[in-house]
Amino acid sequence: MSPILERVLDATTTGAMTSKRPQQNLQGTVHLTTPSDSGEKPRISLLGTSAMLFEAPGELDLQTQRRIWALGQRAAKWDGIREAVPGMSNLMLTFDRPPRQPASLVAALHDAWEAAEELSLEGKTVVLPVQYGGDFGPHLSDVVAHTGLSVDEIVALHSEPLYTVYALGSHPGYCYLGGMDPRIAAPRRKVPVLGLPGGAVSIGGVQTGVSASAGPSGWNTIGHTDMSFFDPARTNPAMFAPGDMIRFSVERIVR
Amino acid sequence: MIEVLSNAALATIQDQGRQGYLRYGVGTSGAMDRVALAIGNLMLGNPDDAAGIEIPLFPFRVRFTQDTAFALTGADCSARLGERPVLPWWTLQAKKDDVLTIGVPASGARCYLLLKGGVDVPVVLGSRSTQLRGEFGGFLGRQLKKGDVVQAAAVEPVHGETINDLAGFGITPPSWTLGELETSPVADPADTVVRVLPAGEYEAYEQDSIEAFWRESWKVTPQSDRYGYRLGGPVLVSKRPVEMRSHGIVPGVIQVPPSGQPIIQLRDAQPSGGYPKIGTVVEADLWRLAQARIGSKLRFVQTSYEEAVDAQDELDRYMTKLRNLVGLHRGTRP
Amino acid sequence: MTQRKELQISELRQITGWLETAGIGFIEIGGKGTLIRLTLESDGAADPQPVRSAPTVEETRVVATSSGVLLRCHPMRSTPIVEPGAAVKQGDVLGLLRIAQLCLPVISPSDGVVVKWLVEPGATVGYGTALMTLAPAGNL
Repeated sequence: MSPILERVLDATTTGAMTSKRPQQNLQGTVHLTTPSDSGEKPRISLLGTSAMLFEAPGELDLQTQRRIWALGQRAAKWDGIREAVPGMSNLMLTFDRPPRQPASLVAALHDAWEAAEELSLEGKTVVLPVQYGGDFGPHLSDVVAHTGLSVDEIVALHSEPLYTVYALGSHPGYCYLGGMDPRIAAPRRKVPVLGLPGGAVSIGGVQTGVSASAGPSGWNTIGHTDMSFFDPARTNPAMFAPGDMIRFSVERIVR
Repeated sequence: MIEVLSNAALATIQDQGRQGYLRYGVGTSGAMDRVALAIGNLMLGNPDDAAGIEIPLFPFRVRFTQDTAFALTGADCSARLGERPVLPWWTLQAKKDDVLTIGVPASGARCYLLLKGGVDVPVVLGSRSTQLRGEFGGFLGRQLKKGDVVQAAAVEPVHGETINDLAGFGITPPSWTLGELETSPVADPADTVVRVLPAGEYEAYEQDSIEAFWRESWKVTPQSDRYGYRLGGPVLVSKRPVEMRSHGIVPGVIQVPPSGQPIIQLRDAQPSGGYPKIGTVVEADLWRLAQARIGSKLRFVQTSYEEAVDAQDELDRYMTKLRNLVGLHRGTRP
Repeated sequence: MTQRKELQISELRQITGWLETAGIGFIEIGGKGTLIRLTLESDGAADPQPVRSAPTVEETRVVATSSGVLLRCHPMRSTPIVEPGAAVKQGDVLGLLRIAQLCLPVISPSDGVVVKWLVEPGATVGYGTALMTLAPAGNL
């Protein structure tokens, strides 16, 4: 019994779930790999009765992410959807109430994805000065060990791109950034580290981000920046939004 | 109004949660046992979105600084108002200077103290729940400390209390109506059983691991709290390493970090994450999880989406019935 | 009830005898600071020793103020709320009347000592059903 929801060809938008498959539950084949290996089809699964997760196929790139933004804007308006939450080339839809016929939602997501055009969200550009290494970058050596690159090479590769804010998540104001050089990718840690301060600049897998407040993290922390990312008193409480751009500048490297 | 007399009890102000800000990285927070909170509010005739105090560590003492009605729900924590015992799942009238002592529960993990009118703290981003990571919401964005004075929303003073009002009334606990869930092999009576829907990466796991997931009694380790329950048991092994892209998650999602020991993400969890997910505890059973103590064990029972939605409907019907019952009773009281 | 009784036990026995003879089932005798309520059980046999076969004269009846299922223990517990012999105060909860999921308290009308339950746990009772007898406080 697969948790991956396949599009049922006969599902209509009124929600009647006709299927050639004999089983009552939603069935389908599963792809055991990350979406970039799974060919052209999106991967849709349920998070209990609370939400549905849509994972776009293909590369984690700005093109895909812009289509995710478009999909999110559209899906947010659908009946019964509480919120559309973009992630890194994926979208979570939380439910007001769990739909009795999720097959309709699966079909709607597929249709909307096929039709989704890149949404260009041109935001502001902000430069964040970073202190790399030392006490603020306790895992820089782990990234060195994993990549085989030197501290200087890693810092150079990390601070070179103009990153796009793909999505917010993880904790209030935290930005998931796209555009990191895959050469400095390092896997998430086996055991998350507790008590990392706000402003921690980290690498997790092929992604990078900056924490907005103190807390635990399973990523590799390589540096620190001073910045206020969130103010709950504001109507739009986050400092950054998807489409904004961030450049890290090297304030100093502590060896 | 109450004054907190205890320190370090990890007590926080919570309501049903902060919805609609996941896309800013703001998790829902809210009561771990939303059913207990809701029933407490019903008993007091409070609005559904009224906030209360979640108490996970004991003992906990407060002093009433004025006459007020209160309710105590959740774990049976041998409470006393002054010298008089307070029964579990009960509401009654406290007098100025009464001290409510909430003791160590015989069973269950958390209890909820509700005040007539609801806890009066500012609404931040649509909710009074405490956002601990972001340090906002609830009582100044933090846990309650000794000396804190927690206000309740102003209510009409009660006149002409009879002895009946002072003795209050109670509700049978949810487990009495909703029962305990069955599983095969049969669960130890002390274990908490919850229904789980397989999640996206379920089939990435070795067959042995999948069987262990459903069969084992998973221990709630001491590193378990509102952020998540870290479970102890057999190591879950995936067929190959799974490195996911960061994606949204909700309370109930069971992640498996590289250690192979599952973590059930809960109310203060990050709203997104990148560990593989083996399953999700259905929303209708999160209240059961909330009452599983540290050191106790969990059993997962596989359910279908349809059954899980039915369970949600059953819970809603139960709450509606209670609302009507309590409404009738409150309406007939002098 | 106060320690200094205004009526002697022997007087009460005599009064009980008169009540039974007269066919009076219920009487309240009030004095300064004291109230004695005497209730004759309807099925109490005519007995030369009315003090023994009828309910003890000083006993108070606790009656149900609504219908419901009588519970001696809270649904979450296995120990009774009160045990026979326990001293209780006016307003104390002695047991519960359950109506569906609602639990209404059976409240002690006065200070006293629990003598016994008159109804089995789990029994459905109606408004006014006698549930329990209490002896006056201090009367051990």
